[in-house]
Order: sequence, then C-alpha cells, then structure tokens
Amino acid sequence: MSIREARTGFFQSIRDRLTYGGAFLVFLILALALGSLWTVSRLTGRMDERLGSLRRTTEIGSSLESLILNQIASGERYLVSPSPQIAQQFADFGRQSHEQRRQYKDLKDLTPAEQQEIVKVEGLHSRIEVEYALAHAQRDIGDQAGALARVAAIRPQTQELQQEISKISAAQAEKVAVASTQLKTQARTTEIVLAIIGIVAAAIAAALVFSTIRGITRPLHELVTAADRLGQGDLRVSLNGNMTGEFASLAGAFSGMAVQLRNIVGETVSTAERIGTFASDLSSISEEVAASSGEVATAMVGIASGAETQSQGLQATQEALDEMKARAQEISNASRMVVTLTGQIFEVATRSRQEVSTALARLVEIRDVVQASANQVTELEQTSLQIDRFVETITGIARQTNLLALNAAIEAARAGEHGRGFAVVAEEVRKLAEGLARAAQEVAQNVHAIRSRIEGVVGTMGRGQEKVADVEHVSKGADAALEQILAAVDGVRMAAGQVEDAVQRNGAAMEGVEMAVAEVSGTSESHAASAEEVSAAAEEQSAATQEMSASSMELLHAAERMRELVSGFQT
Amino acid sequence: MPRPLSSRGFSRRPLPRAVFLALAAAVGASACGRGGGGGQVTFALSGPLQQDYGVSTQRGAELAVKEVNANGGIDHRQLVLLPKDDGADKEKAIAIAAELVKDPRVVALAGPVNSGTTIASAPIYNGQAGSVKGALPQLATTATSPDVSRLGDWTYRIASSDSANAVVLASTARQLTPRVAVMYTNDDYGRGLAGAFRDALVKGGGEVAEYDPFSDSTADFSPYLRRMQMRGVQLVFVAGLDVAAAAIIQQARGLGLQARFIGGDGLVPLVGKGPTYEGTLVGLLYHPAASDRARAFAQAYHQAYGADPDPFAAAAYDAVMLLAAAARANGPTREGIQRYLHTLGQNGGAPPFQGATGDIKFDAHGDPLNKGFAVGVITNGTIQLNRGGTR
Repeated sequence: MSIREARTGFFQSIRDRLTYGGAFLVFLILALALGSLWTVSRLTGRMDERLGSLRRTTEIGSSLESLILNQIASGERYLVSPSPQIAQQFADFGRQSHEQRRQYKDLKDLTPAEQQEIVKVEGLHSRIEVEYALAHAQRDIGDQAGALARVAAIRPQTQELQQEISKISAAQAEKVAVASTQLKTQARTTEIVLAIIGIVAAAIAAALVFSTIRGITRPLHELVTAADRLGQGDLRVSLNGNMTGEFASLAGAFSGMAVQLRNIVGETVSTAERIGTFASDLSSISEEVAASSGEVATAMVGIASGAETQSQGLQATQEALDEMKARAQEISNASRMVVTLTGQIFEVATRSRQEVSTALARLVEIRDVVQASANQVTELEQTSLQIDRFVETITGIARQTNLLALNAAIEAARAGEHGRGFAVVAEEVRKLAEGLARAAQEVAQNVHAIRSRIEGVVGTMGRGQEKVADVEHVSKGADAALEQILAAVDGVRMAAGQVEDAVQRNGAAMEGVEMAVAEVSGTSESHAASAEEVSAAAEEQSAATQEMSASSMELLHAAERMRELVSGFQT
Repeated sequence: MPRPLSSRGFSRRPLPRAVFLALAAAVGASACGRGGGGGQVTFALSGPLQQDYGVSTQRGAELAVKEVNANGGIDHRQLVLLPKDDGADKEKAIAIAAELVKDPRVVALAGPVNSGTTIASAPIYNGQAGSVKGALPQLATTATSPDVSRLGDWTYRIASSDSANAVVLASTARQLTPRVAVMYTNDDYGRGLAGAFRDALVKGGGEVAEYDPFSDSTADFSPYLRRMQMRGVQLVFVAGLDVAAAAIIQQARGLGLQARFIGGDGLVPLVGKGPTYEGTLVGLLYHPAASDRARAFAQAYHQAYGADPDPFAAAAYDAVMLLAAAARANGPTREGIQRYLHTLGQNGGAPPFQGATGDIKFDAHGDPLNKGFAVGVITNGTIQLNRGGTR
C-alpha cells in the first residue's frame, strides 16, 4: 500500500489551513471594520476643518466689511465736524481693515473668485481712502465745498465697494458647494475600497471552507472504504492518492498496520499447513504402530516361532516410536512458533490501536480549533454591533447640526439684509449635515451587510464541525475493527495452545507405549512361555496406540481449525 | 526695492530702442542655448524685463553668469540664464512660477524683482499651491516689502526689508528735524514702508505731522501740501515711486513749500531728472563707493555696458553669484541650493556671502541679517553718500 508523502508547506494540514486561513479572514474583517471607523472619523475631521475654514473666512469677511463701512462713516463725520479723535478713528479703521484684508488673502483654499474679489475690494478701498484723506486735507485748509464735491464724486465707487464685499459672501457659498462635493467624492471612493475588501474577504472565506470540506471528505471516504474492507478481513487494503496533513499520518498508520498483518497471517498460514502435514504423518505412523501391535498380538499366538522374530518386531516398534518422538518434537516447535507469532500480531495490533487513538486525539484538536474560530467570528459580530452604535452617535450629531443650522437660518432671517450671507452659509451647513447623515446611514448598511456575511461564515464553520465529527466516527470504527482483529488473534493463540496440549498428551501416550515395548522386550526373552502376559501387554499397547491415534486426530483437527481461522484473511 | 504692484508707474518712460534690441537678442541667445541639457546648469530670472530697472536687473544677472562661466562654470558645466518677463504683473508672475517649478532643467530662480510679484508667486515656489507639485528656490533681488519675510523656506531676498531700511531712514530724518510729514502710496509697499518709518520715528522721540495716502491716479497733491505749509512742516518722507515723488516735489516747489524730501530706494531714479530734486535724501540698496567689492562690480559693469550700475543690477548680480556659490557647494539641485541658502552664515553652513550689495546671511524669515543700508543725497545730478547714514 502506498501513500504519497504529504507535500511540505503551510497549508497541507487541515489545522494549518483553518488556523492561517481563519486568521487572515479575521484580519480582513478587522480591516473592514477599522476602515469603516476610519472613514467616519476622517469625514468628521474633514468637515470640522472645512467648517473651521468657513468660519474664519466668514469672520474675517464680516469684520472687513464692518471696518470699511466704519471708516467711510468716520470719513463723512470728519467733514461735518472735524476733530483729531475722528481723524484718528478714520486712520485706525483704515489700518485695521488693511490688516484684515491681508489676513483674508493669507487664508488657504481661497477660490479664484474670492481672490478676484479681494483684489477688486483692495483697489476700490485704497482709492476711496485716498479721496477721503484728500477731502479731509481740503476741509482742513478751509475748502469745504471742494471737499464735499470730492466725496460726492467718489460715491459710485463707494457703492461698488459695498457690492463687491457682498460678492465675497457669494464666493464663500461656492466654496461650501465645492467642499461638499469633495467630501462626497472622498466618501464614495472609500466605500468602493471597503466593498472590494468585503468581497475579497467573502471569497477567501468561501475558498477556505470549500477546500477544507474537500480536504476532509475525499480522504475520509477512502479511509471509510479501507476500514470496511479491513473489517471484512481484506488485508489488501490500499490507500492511494494525496492525503493532507492529519489524514496522511492516519492513512500511513493504517497502511502500515495492514502490511504487517498481512505478513504475519501469511506466515501463520504456512506454519499451520506444516503442522497439518506433521499431524497426518503422525496419524499414519500411529496406524502403522497399531498395525504392528496387531502383528505382535498375532505373533504372540505363534510365540514359539521364536524370540528372533519377536525381537525384530520390537526393534521395528522402537524405531517407529523414535521417529514419532522426533515428529512430536517438531510439532511442539511449530506450535511454540505460532504462539510467538500471535504474540507479535497482538503487539502490532495494539500499537496500531494506539496510533488510531493518537489520530483520534488530533481530530479532537481540530474540532477545538474550529470551535475557537467560530468563537472569534462571533466576537467580530459583537464588534460590528459596536460600529452600529457609533454610527447612531454620528447620525445623532448630524441631526443636531441640522437643527442648529435651521436655528441659524431663522436667526439670519431675523437679521434681515445683513443676515443674508449668513443664511446661505447656514443652508450649506445644513446640507453638509444631511450629507453626513447619509454617509453614516450608508456605513450602517455596509456594517449590516458585513454582519450577514459573518453569520454565513458561522454557519459554514458549524458544518465544518459536523464533518470533523464524522471523521471521529470513522476513526472509532477503525478502532473497533482493530479490536475484532485482536479477538481473532486471541483465537489463533488459543488454538496453538490446544495443539501444544495435544502434542504433550501424545508424548505421554508414547512414553506409555515405550514402557510397554521395553517391558515386552525385557520379558520376551526370559518368559517366552508367559504368552498371557505378553498378550495382555500387547492389548495394553494397542489401547495406548489407539489413544495416540485419537490425540493425533485431535492435533489434526486443531491444525485444521487454525488454518480455517487464518484463511479468513485475504492476503 | 520696488514695490510696484502694477507696471504702470514705470511704463510711462519709453524704453530706448537700442536697449530693447539688445534685450531681444539676449533672450533669443539664451533660448537657443538652453536645449543642451546635461552639460548645463540653468537659473531662471524673472522680472519686468522691458522696464528700465528690469533691463538693469538682467544686465547685472548676465554679468554674473559671464563671470561664473569664465571661472570654470559650475563643476565644469556651463551656467545658463533663462529670463522670463513678468511685466511686474502678479498674474504673469504666478503663471511663470508654475512653468518654472514644472521645468526640470531649472534649479533656482533669481527674482522676482518686485515685492508684489514676489509675494504673489511665493506659494507656488514654496510648493504650497495644490495645483503645482514641487518647489524651487526663489531668491528675490530688490523686493523690500516686510511681507516678503514670512513667505516660506524656499523664499529669500538680497535686499533688506523695508522695516529694517525704515529704521535707518527714520534715524536720518530725526537728525534733521523731529517733526516729519509722511506721504505714502496706498498699497502694500507704501503702507509697509510708511508704517515702519512712523513706528521707528515715534520710538526715537520724533513726531508724525501728517500721514497722507495717495494712489496712482492721484494727480493733485495740493490739499496735503498746502496743509503742510499751513502747519510749517520742514521734512516730508515719501514712501512711493519716483514718478509720484517727482510730481509731489514739483507741486510743493510750485506752492512755495520749502520742505526737504526723504524717501526709500524707490526715489533713486530722481537723480537724473534735473535740479528740482537737489538735496533729496534717498535710501540705497547699493552704492558704488560703499565697499571694495561694490567698486569692483561697478568697474566690471561699466566695462561691459558702458554705464554705471544701479541697485537693481547689483542685487541681480549678487543673486546669481550667491546661487552659483550654492550650486558649487551643494551640487546643482533645488534641494542642495535651498539647504545652502537656509544655513548660510549659520552654524554648520557656509560663511556669509560677500556681495556687491554687502555681506549676506539670512535670518529665519529668509531676510538678509544686519545688511548695510546707505542713505545718499542727490547732489549735482549724482548721489553722494550721506555721512552718518550708513549702519
């Protein structure tokens, strides 16, 4: 029986396959979970960043607007009632608005529209500021009319400046739209990546389960067939093909056992045959002895025919007895050999049983590994429930932000014209919140999908456990078969014992014959006349030879039975 | 120095035809020369190359290239100049920056010339603009605005900041009279210089009599000048360009205001405009008499072009010479040159660069540290160093 050596490598044994495959699967599912968490947190971070930048632009924009308007107001005031305080105010507002505008220009992520607006605002504001300063100088040197005319001439530019400032708000709205589109795109990209990871994880899980089941089913079937045949006594069992890991060692033990059994049974059969030959020889010799005894009895009637004839007859008897003794010795040796062989059989069978037990123990380990993997997957299911809760929290925050944005819109509406820009911003914030809520909802759906896949994996692992239980069942069957073999071997040993007994009893009977012959020999010469005595001795001898013949038959019978027992095996 | 945020201040002066032709020839020659690749090291030059001061800038830079190549080039590789005309326009400067950063041949930029273009293009040279990947060392020549100080690790300049120059000008002014009127062009340059001057003056115990803005479109300065006359102002600080300063001084003389005028390096071009401007005090980034190296440069420049160099030429000359020294020391790569500039004059870096405009080492903002800034007086159609005006 030939078993191909299991190829070396990680994934040859079922245990390795389950351990490493399961670990990789767990890693992928963890990556999926962490990826979802990361996406949600990154989206939140991006949103904070965008909102923060928006807030800064809005703050600087509105502060710039109020500073410029204040400067123009104090410029007007100075023309009506000039005072150093108002002149100082005019200069201060001017300096602060230039500073604010510079900060605005330094802001990152300004759109081209904003950049254009701020350059326009800068040009208009600088010109208006110069005109007011010149008007103040005219007022200071007493040219009141010239000052007022100068200010009146610049008024269209002042109105244009106000319009341009309000355009900055519009540019901010555009920025919000761009930011929200970017966030959506980012969310979608991440979703696709997560979906791919999910599909890969599912595919690997399916491949793992399929290959494990396949790795168990095929060798299992071969082992079942082989064990059945062994149970029916067919020792020609051959386990061919590629066995993986644990199955390879089980099949190896099984095959080794069958080979050794076959060798031993072969030897036993030939020994039994030899015993049979010896026994039939013995039987025919016994018959010869019986015949010669008869001859002795007959010779007794014509005893007078002389001691010579008697002496020759006795000598022939003695020779026959000697030969018989030698044969009996051979039988005794043969049966001792049978006992030794059966001892070996017993030993081999016991060792095989131990190996089967070891394989059984390994199967139990596999069952434990499968159980452990199942537990880990169940824990993952728990983790995904936590992600659910996290998503609920995010949804809550989004709802809250939405409410705040609505409130802000209401406040902005109450503020009227001045709040118009802010109302636009509030509306966009609200849209962003909606976007976040949607994104969170999508993450929740993803998590649900992942969980249903995890449940699928749990089910598959359960089926894997059932398969392992089947393997265990078969191994127990092999164990039982071995037990039967052990019982059969015991029968052989008992039969061999009986042969030994028969041989010994035969020996005792022969000694009786020998003694009787010696007696005849001793007395024949001196008591030729005592024919009755001789006759009685001959009778005695005849009885002894009959006994020997019977024990020869018994021996023959025992040898026959042994051969029958052994011939049950097909070698 | 100049700050022109637009080119308008300079375009009024027609460009001499000969200069234009020479410039076209120079641009053409370097355009033919740059395709060579492996055997060359390319520096870009950016500035308003069709303005007078742009022509000076390019002459100074080309003189430096000639000297570098006459002394073995950069590790036996020819130094090539790639000139780009930004017209002192911010948007053009931004487009040029994007083009240069993407051009793998260019390892450093000498320029821009103006503060406005330097500030506008700096985010691109510093790799902060999302649209253009990479960075390029930007060594501005005469940008003096204080705002150039905080633009990034890839931006440096030859000229000292207006905030440093204003301290020298304020101390000169205070020695003449404690009460000074300030007129400034209402843009980043004018506000920056005027504000620094006012702060330095007040800190030194002086008084600001007036603080008057004007713009490019201001033609009539008489309201300010008549108020100064009324208030008895003796000294007027003008933070602006020579064109506006010329109009102011002419109108002041017309009104009979006898006050003296003082200004930054932007007023230097008044020197050739006639006797009206005699006695005007001007800040100088470069003066041929300031040092031996300044004299040597003036001599070489005169030999090459038959004219005396102005601060624009000197700053451009220093910029190219400093970049060449950096490329020789750290290899002609953008990173190597940036590292050289970053550590110049500091522990672990090269010793301060000795240029025609003074000794150059940089502070953490990329500004030259403790660089000399001279004050000159327009005297008989030339500029003489004002005694005691140099730090």
